[in-house]
Amino acid sequence: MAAHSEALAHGHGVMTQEEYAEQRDLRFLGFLLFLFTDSIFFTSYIFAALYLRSAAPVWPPPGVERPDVNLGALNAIILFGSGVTAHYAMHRLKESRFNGYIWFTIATIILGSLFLLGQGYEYSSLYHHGVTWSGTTFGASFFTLTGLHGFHVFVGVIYLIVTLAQTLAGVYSPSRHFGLTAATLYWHFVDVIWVVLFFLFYIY
Amino acid sequence: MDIGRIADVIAAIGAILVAVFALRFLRKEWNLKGADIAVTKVMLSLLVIGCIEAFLVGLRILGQTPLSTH
Repeated sequence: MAAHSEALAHGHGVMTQEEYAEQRDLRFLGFLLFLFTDSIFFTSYIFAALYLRSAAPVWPPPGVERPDVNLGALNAIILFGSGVTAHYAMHRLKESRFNGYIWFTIATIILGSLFLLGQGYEYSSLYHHGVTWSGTTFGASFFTLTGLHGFHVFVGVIYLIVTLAQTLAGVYSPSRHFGLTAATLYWHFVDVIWVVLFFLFYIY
Repeated sequence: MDIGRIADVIAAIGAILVAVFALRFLRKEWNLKGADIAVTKVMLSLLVIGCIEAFLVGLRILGQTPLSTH
């Protein structure tokens, strides 16, 4: 009975550790497939941007302001830093150090939000320099890809807030925390996509 | 010092810090087994590459070309 109550309290119904491990593997496979499809989605847009770039004689087209690489690097480091704090948070939970988990998750949420603010600032700055979504192929590819990525960051921030609330409600424990593993992997995925986009739009 | 230079310095220092922590995690988890850990290792390795990008931008070695022509 006590085991049943504990299992229910952790939101997993009545499940032995073996059953949980099996379900966890299946969920993990499903989550990997989700990340794979998402990466195909990004890849198709990245190749579209590369095609547009190769078709243009000059890139960005003449008269189009390139995004500020200094601000881009700062924003990139904010996002990459959030990947490290997300990883720390996961480790703290595995070590049953709940306070550490909470603070590192809050730090990740703040850094993710700062990244979105930085992106908003960059959009407004580019807009004031005449770079718009419909104006040029550069604007179209930049806003589509970075906007799509920004949407993923926004979803990730919400995802982290939800998992934080769930942890505080006792849903996850150091031995059963697949939701948190998925949230951390999703956040790493969002980081990695930005590694590619940062290179594509700011460096290349 | 202009704002661009300050952003560069913060990006370069931040890149070193983030890369060091990411590499520490990688080292710690290198011998661990499990699918999620394997995926995490790949993600952290790519994150380190991102840090190198940001570091080189911070040093103004990369990303200073205003236009590229074919």
